[in-house]
Amino acid sequence: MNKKRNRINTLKGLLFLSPNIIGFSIFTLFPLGFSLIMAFSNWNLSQHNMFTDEPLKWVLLQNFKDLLGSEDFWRYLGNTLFFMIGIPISMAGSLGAALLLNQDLKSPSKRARSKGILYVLPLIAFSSLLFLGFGMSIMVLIVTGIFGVIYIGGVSGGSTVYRTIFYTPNFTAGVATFILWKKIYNPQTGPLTTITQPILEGVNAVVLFLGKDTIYIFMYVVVVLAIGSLYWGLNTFLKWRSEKDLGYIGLIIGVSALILPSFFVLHWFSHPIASQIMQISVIATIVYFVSQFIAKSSDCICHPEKGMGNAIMLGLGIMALQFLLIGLSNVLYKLPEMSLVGISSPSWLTDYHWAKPSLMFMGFWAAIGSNSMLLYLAALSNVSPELSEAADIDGATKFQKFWNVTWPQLAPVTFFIFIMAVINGMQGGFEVAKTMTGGGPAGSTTTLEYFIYEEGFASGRLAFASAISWILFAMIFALTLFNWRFGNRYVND
Amino acid sequence: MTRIFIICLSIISAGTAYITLTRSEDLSGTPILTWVTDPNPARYEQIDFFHDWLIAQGHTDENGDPIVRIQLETGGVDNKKIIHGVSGVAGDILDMYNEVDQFKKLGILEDLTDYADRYGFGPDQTYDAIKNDIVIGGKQFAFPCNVTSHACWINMDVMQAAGIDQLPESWTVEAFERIGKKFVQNMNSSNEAQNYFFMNNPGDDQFVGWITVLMRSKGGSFYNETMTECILDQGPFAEMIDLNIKWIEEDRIFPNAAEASSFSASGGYGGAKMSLFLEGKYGMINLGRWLLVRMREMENPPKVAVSRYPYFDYENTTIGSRCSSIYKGSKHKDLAALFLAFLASDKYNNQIVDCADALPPNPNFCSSQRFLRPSEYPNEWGAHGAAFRSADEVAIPDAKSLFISQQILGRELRTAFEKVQSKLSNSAIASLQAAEAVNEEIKRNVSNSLRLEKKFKNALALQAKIDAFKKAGKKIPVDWISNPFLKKYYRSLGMLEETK
Repeated sequence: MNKKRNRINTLKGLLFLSPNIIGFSIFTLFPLGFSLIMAFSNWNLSQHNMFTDEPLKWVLLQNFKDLLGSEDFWRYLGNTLFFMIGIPISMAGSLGAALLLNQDLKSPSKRARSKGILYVLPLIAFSSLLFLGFGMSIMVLIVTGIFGVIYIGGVSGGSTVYRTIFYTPNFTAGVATFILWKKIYNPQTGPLTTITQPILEGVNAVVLFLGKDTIYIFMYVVVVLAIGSLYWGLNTFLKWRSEKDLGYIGLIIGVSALILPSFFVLHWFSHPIASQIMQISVIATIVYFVSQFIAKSSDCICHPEKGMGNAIMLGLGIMALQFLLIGLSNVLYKLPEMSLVGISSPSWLTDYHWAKPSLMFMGFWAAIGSNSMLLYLAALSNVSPELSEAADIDGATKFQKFWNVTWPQLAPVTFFIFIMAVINGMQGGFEVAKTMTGGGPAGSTTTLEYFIYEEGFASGRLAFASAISWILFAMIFALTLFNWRFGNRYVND
Repeated sequence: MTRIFIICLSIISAGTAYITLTRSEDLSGTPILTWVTDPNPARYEQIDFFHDWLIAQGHTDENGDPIVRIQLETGGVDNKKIIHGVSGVAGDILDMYNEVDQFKKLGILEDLTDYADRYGFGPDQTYDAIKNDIVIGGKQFAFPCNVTSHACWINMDVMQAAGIDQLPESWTVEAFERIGKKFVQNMNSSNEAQNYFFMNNPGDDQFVGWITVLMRSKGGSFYNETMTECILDQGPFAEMIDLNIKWIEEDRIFPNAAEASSFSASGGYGGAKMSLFLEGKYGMINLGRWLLVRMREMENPPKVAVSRYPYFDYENTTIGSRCSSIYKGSKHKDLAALFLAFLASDKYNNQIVDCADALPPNPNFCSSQRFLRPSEYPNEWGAHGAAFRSADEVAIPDAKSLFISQQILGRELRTAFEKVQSKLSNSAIASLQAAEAVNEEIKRNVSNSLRLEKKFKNALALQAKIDAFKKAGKKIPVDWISNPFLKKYYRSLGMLEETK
């Protein structure tokens, strides 16, 4: 009787699942398998379809060989990875937003403080706008109005209002927001240009006033900061290692991330002396620390995977910082020359060098209020208050409390968000490129996903497009394996 | 839960059954054909005219209604049409823009030769220059809905405001540049930021046509005589890139891409650049006659005139068509053929003449007063005749290689231009890279297809003979050359031996 009932229940269960199973099999599993097989053929829409009799040829690994030998593939992979440099910043933004939204705005003291700010902040904002010469243009009124409404809503409604507003980008249709951003990036009438142009004019005046030599001093300061951040990162790793808190796997990954920007310096840096200083310092720093790591290696034996999560996060964070500082020092090098002809806002989306950063910047906006923020919010609500109270009793500062109590508790979710962001980053970029730049100018915003579309549906070479997809899959799979292998260990670290 | 599942399933099934049973075709029994075309407002009127024409021609059912109806699908961008086509689910009538050869290669177009004989829409009903497009390998695969020959459409109100009273119908590059500089100088003298430009940005959707004409006017071609090799690196392509960038960056007669996108302008049919032209921001625009469709919606449309594209030594322009064809997978090919017959009719040609949706398929309709001087639009009287003469006298169809998609060529041309504009490369290197990329693609396509490989070998053998004849200074038999531009250009130079 029980056996019969079990069988009926199984059948019922399968009946319930059947729409999903059938849909998955037809629309996902079959195309997936089919594309794998076709990646080894010469399938081209214009030659092989239901109306033509051209025989299909099996070319085995030729598509993969062509792909790996193609300059475009590596360039578009580079573009994809470039967009992914923003992941640590986006994650930091999501965490920052979550920390802000986790504040209890309804507690009496905070409400009073917020109300105080409510009156002061708009006044300061308006005064600044007028002082900077924005006047009362429609755009300024709209932007100020929106901020005002959000601000008042938040102060009256508490964090729920802010949480809803912050999450808005995630449930707004992608294409609609891209078109909105296209307007924001409008090089003549867009708010970004309207805001940056007076600032740049101010910078121009300051640069002319200070002169080339003074600006170069700032450039050297930034170069020193970049080297300093590398030094600090390596030193932290050394410290963790001597405290037996960092295994060699984490060390290798973290150090690799830290020294990556140094390789780009060779291509990016324009100023010969600063470039030489930087290269020599970086090499010296690396040599020093490598020798230290080797010298102390016998004293620092711990589990190879220990502290890997912290090492990855710190490595990536400093890597992003170094990229920013190197970029800034390059800008400072060019500033005196630029100020002679007048510094103006760039053509955000139509300039080869600005199109990628512009799209990346837009990505920050979307990422900060994304599911990552929600996950962080959920994780923050799970942070044990006892630990926090214990830290208070021990006299920990706010930062110490965050770094030693909150941050370790957020480790599982951070690792999950990171892996998901990397996977999405590898697979992303099509919608935004199609809508905003068409992959240009000169392919500067073409990502692997867009490349697949172009090859598959513009050129009709579906076999080649399948090969790209499977190479992309292999890369993502490797990352996922990495997650399976090390994720749990990091979580329990 | 089981009940909820069954209820949901029942509702969905009932809804599906209802929609299926209430489809108009099933109710009235009249077949409905899908016409995949562009979102031009004139299409609705054309459908009504087709239904009227069917009745007038006696193609009716027992109730006196048309035996077939047309419904529009206007979201059919090329890639979507191709995917639908090769998947067996495309609309019955497909519109194509100078791409009949590409769609024919896919094998998704019906051979219309017999239908054309039966219903009278053969190639003799249209321009000679279009025949290359619609007849492939001796078989007809399409018929033009309209014909477009690009020219410079001029806003004479703005020109006059710039102190330019008249522009020549035909002009050299030197005259074009001189007048352009005068225009921007006069129109922008009091403005800090430049708001007025002589013409739209050439790097937009008309880029390939624009650069083709300029190149050809210096004897340059994208392909060799048999279209087996891309010769961008050997011709004046690099020079034309530099010239256009000079016009954008130094002479400022064209806006750059950022400026073109930054003016606040609405989109709509014809895009933002047409809005800018109609607003008077651009003195002229490089488009076809169909721009008048939108212009006529204005309360006070500007006075317009037409000049041909400028040239160096050899005057020419492009000619193309929006062609309709019948999808091979259609269930109603006979009825769809009636629609193509309608395209060749007086009623349709006159409708194109009246609505200004480019040039009518039959050139005989372009000499009437109805075409030249439409009574309701005196502001256009100086434009229609010149637009037709440009198409009739100097237009040469595009060179389309059997061995590569035009889309790929266009992509490489644009990339080369953008590379130079972004200072990533100089024009010579960019041209060489573009030529290499196209030739690589040709090689790949040929190696993937036995059919193409055979044709390619034959074409290469012919090319070797042509090269030998050229080297020896001998006249080349006209039939050896498949590149339509080189055929006409060589003829003008007396290099061809005509077939007796």
